Amino acid sequence: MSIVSTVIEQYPQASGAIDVVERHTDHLGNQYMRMWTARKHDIQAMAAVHAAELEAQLAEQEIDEVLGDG
Amino acid sequence: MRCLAMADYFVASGGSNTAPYDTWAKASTSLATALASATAAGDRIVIQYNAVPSGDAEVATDTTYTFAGNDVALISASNDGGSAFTPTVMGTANWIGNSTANRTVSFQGNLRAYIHGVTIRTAGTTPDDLQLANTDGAHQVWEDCYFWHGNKSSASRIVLGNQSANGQSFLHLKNCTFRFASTSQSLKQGKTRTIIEGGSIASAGSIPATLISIGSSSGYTMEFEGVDLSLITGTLVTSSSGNGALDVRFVNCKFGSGVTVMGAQTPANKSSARVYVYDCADGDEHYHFQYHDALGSLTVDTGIYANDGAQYDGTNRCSWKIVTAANCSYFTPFVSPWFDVYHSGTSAVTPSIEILRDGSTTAYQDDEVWGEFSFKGTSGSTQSSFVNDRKALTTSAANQTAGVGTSGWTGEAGSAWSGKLAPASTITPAEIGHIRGRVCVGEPSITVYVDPQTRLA
Repeated sequence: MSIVSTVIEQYPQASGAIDVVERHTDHLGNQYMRMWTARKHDIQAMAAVHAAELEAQLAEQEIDEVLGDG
Repeated sequence: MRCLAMADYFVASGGSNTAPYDTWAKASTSLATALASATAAGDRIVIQYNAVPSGDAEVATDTTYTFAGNDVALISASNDGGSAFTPTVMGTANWIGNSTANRTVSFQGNLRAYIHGVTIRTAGTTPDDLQLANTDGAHQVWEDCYFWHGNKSSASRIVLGNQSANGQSFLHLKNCTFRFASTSQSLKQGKTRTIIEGGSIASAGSIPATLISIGSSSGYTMEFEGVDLSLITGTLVTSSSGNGALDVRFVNCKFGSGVTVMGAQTPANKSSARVYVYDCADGDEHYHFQYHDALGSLTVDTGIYANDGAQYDGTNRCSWKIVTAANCSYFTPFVSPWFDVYHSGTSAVTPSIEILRDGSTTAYQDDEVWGEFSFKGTSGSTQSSFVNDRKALTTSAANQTAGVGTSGWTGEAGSAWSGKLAPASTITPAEIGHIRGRVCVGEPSITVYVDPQTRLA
């Protein structure tokens, strides 16, 4: 399972923080949403990290589905 | 009042191992033996915090400790001579389990038990879990305890509650510390209602990338109140992976910077996990409320709000921002939590909710966004009645009603649309009480700002 695209939405807050919504899409067209609040984060870099984590999580889920464990 | 037997059973490496183990001098040199002896309600097993028997501090095999009586306590304490003791935590200097070798350590028994000040430790590199209340029917309360999961396998977990398919259990963890040895480890929720109050994640060891995983036999609820979770900067709740419809609530907790509250859910529907967040943040902000499920997320937004909208501190205003995932639809919408307004009258009123679309002047339609309202519509009954402005099943979609106008909102971009959700006709409460409103979003991957007030006209 691989992430083929990531769309980032940014919502500025009164405090200066930014609510970030990442929409990651895998090669099957399934979309995965992730929401977090950025303070002084590099949003693009964080999104890339999250995409990599999501790939690993999806791979683990495939294994779990076979083994029936979480 | 029930009369409790209150027998004490002492455990210490320096004891003579003489039944009934009722003094430090005669202390058992086996925790399992003392646990088996304590069968009456009110019995206490008192283990010397700095003299854990070697067979318990370095268990030789995978070990299950089983409580044998209801309302029994296991207390870590100092040896004050005779049968006197002072509760004293083991901390990181002493433990039950193993500090070097692979061992699963499990506390079981389908009974009510209280544990104070104990440290449970695992080690090794192949997967071995640290298990709490892993019995169908277990009810365990752990206070001031330290769960030192030193097993370095990425596949091992601190297992919370019963793991059997048809089991149930309860865990209350008060002011406890959780320590991990791999960033891939987590708290693995089983078939249990778990309450975690106070406490923290240890800075020693490894910090999990994801705090909560959902076991193959999972479900029920987890409640975190006043827990320091600031070291977790990855994800708090992972995907259900088809394992259970877990509900998690975080209340007054300290969050980590940049943390994701809930990861994407599989299956992508409301049979998977959902999470509520009340007043948790990584800083000194006290207005945060969040709700997440597989169909979308709702957070408090201070960047865009209705000019006469909800206030979060008596002065400054906010909205609820709903961001839907790709998985909601007209038939299976994202549904916000309810918000109430108290209504003391029984005359006809029209409830409404103001909403905003940012970045587009196109109105949301009644198959994309709609309101639902409940009120006491039956005289002499507490039962509520429901109305909404959702598109009917057989009609075409229509624009929702215009709202206060974009001049009535602050923070939106150059183009925006202001709307109002309201039933087509008035409602007439038959009883005084709360009129409730909520917003449903059937359109995937959109953002809707909601003034979280049910307005009455």
